[in-house]
Amino acid sequence: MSSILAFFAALMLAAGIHPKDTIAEAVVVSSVKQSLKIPEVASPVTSVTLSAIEDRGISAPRNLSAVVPGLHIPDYGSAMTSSIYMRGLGSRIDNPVVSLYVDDVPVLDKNNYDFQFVDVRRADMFRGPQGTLYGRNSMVGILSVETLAPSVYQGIRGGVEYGSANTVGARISMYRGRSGTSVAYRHSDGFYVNEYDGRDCDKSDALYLRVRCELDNSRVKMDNHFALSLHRQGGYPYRLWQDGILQPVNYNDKSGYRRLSFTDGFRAELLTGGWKMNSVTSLQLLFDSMDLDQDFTPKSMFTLTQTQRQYAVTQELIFKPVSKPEWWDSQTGFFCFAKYNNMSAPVRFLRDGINSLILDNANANIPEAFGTLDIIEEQFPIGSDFGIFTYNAALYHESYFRLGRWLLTAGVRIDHEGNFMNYDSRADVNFILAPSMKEPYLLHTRYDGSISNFYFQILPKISALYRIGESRDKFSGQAFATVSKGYKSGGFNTQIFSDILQNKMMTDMMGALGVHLDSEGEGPDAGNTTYKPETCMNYEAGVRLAFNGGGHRLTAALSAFYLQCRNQQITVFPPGKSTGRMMANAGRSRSCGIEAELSWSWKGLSLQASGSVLNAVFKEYNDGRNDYSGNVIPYSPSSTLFALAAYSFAFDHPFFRSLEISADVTGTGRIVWDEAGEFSQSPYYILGAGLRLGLPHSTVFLRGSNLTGTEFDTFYFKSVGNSFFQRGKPFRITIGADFEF
Amino acid sequence: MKKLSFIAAIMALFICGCEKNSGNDEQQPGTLSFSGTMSVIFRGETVPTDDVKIDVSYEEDGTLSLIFNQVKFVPQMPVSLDVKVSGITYIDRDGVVTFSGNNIIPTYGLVDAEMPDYTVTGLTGTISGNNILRFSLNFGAVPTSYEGALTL
Repeated sequence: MSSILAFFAALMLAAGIHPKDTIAEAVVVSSVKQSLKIPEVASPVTSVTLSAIEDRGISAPRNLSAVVPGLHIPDYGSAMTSSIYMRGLGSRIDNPVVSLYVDDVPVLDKNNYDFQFVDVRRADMFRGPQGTLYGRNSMVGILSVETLAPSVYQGIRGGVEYGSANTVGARISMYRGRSGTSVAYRHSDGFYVNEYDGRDCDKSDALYLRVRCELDNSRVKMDNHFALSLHRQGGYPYRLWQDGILQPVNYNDKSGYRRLSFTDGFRAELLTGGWKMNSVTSLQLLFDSMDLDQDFTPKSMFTLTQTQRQYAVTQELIFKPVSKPEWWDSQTGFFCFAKYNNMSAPVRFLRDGINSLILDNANANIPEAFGTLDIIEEQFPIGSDFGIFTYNAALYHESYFRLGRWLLTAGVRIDHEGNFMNYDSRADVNFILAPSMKEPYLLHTRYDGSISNFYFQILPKISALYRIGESRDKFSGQAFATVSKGYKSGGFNTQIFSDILQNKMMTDMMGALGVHLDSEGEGPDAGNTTYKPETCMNYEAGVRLAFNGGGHRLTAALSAFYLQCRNQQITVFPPGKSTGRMMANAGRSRSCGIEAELSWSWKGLSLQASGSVLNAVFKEYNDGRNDYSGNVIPYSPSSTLFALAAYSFAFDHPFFRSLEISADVTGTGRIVWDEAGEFSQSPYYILGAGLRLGLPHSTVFLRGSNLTGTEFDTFYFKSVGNSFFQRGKPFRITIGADFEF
Repeated sequence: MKKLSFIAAIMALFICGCEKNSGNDEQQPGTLSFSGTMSVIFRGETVPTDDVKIDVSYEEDGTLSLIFNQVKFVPQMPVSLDVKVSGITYIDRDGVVTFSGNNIIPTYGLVDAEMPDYTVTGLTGTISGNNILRFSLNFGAVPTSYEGALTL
């Protein structure tokens, strides 16, 4: 990794367009949560710095897929669907398995994970559970993003680009004195057309603003970053799989996503009484709204509109000793947050859905002699409102023992979290059983109440790292072994409430009719929506090597892991219940694999590669209807591959400073789409290439993605018994320019 | 015995004369609940069902209603119903309620849906002084009888 940095540093000096990162060579992160330098961390870490981020067009976290070995962030749905998979584990809804920190502020809601990378100085993916330092949702890793600071860079920088699907991007940043301001805008007409109305269905617009201010006196350093993001996007280009043929995108109801998010993070560092105290405070607001044609067909069956208004505050205090013996260092921390989410998620049943999903089922159970049930309304909503309060408090400590070439780490975190939810689901329908009833009957159905969920987690970590050689030597490296635990938070699966209310509606309707079914069992209730955390123990060993001599710079990293996941959150169909799903911590799985990274540079040539292979299966998964034990865990690829080759020509010319040619390939291994293994995506490869021409104060670039037009599916799901896929993005080309003054 | 006498005494407090139902000496309580055995003659065989709960409701118009809770008229019915037979005339004399009705269309559920195929004919019955409800009727072509005791 340091060789890549050196290569790009040389390019920066030649073209004069990238900020000087004076500490790049030392690979020190400025995150207050990391007491160790990257080479001292006993976990595999992939770091990507500003040069690589901007040169390769890494515009969002999902573009790190495969660049980080084993990381898969599929591009589907909308900015709301930030599903992250790593080491075989992942999550489509609610809590993620990888936590995201931006300038040391934890991004609490996964709906905010898909954001624009603007002036990102570095992104570090720490792989493996990081529960001791980062707590909740860092079950298989954390992505720590640092943005450019005025203390590191002064000047004006920006860029414009235009590409396929009328995709336009523009950004400009100004760093003067103690503050820096960045603004970015991006528009795309989208790559998919909805055949129903002939319109682009995934048009998007995104606006981003960040202001960062720093203040530094002899005792206190302060740093505030304020970020505002506005995102508006069309929908969900899902295609029906019918009769063995993938149909075009074709649905009639409104689908899209809008998001306004605001984050203010304040960091302070204070030296007092022999201790260095870091404080990180944040205020996070999220307002978003999703519309979904839930059947994704031209039929008018049912739609969902989910609106959230979320308010959160976080606080972290970290204490590190200033005076300490050479052989020992430590950090002790306290973390807490409080979050309130006011969510409304009404499901609207339309005529086709009323007929096929409600009346057909009901009339199948009503004896013919009594008549035929009908609902008078052409459409009606099942309203669902939720008020969810979540809090978390944690204490943690890590000690670092330096014994010669050995660095031993031991730490533990005690983490407590609680969730309270008020729920109110209701529906009013007029129904008639003809010819028995003379006139319609107004049925009021309501299900409201409150429920809570609490848990403690103890998250230990021990690791050993052995230093090979010294960093100034031609040959150096580290070997490490680590055992650590992480967890994914629990909560409530609010999507099941529509099942609950539908079941209650049917029961109430039958009750109003005076009809009692023989098979009338207990229906699901709010208790069926709660789930506890799932936990993961990881056992890992690895080695990192660096060679620097004769003009060659070579780095290599290899690690092997074994991971056990317990209390896995799965949906089940419980016996004894008449209908409906429930959440249960009833799954167990294990994942084992190997991850590798390699980089080499010599003169103008540079090569980079990363890859992973893994085997991730359910050890135990019985949903009450089927037993999937032994099956491959879906949605996570069995392997990833990334390879990049680049050659840079430096010119002794006043105008044309340099030319870089690059080519890359991203490979994704087999992905199984469902627990039964019925559907899968074969391995596929995406080719890319780029040209960058260095000019005074600017660079002009041409970038191509998916050059061979590889067709692949990026997502699969089922709705009302139908299977749907989303196709990956096609061939794309982008031309643009970056500038800096 | 003491218990039943007590019940009869309490009931007597609520019994009153009803102008619309001439011949009734005392006013009836709102609703009485009975539990007992309902017998249905199905395909020539008598099919008894125990623990059948029937409410007798004295209406404001001077009639009474029989409310069958979760009943099946034939064993093969996949569902059980809440059925109401209303507009039944009654006489209360000397502590015995005698009632009868004919050509009454039963209804079911809160929606008062009608069951013309099960029109009640030949309904006769009594609530005796010792609070035993007995009646017989035809639900359509299905002869039905019932005997049950008052529940508290």
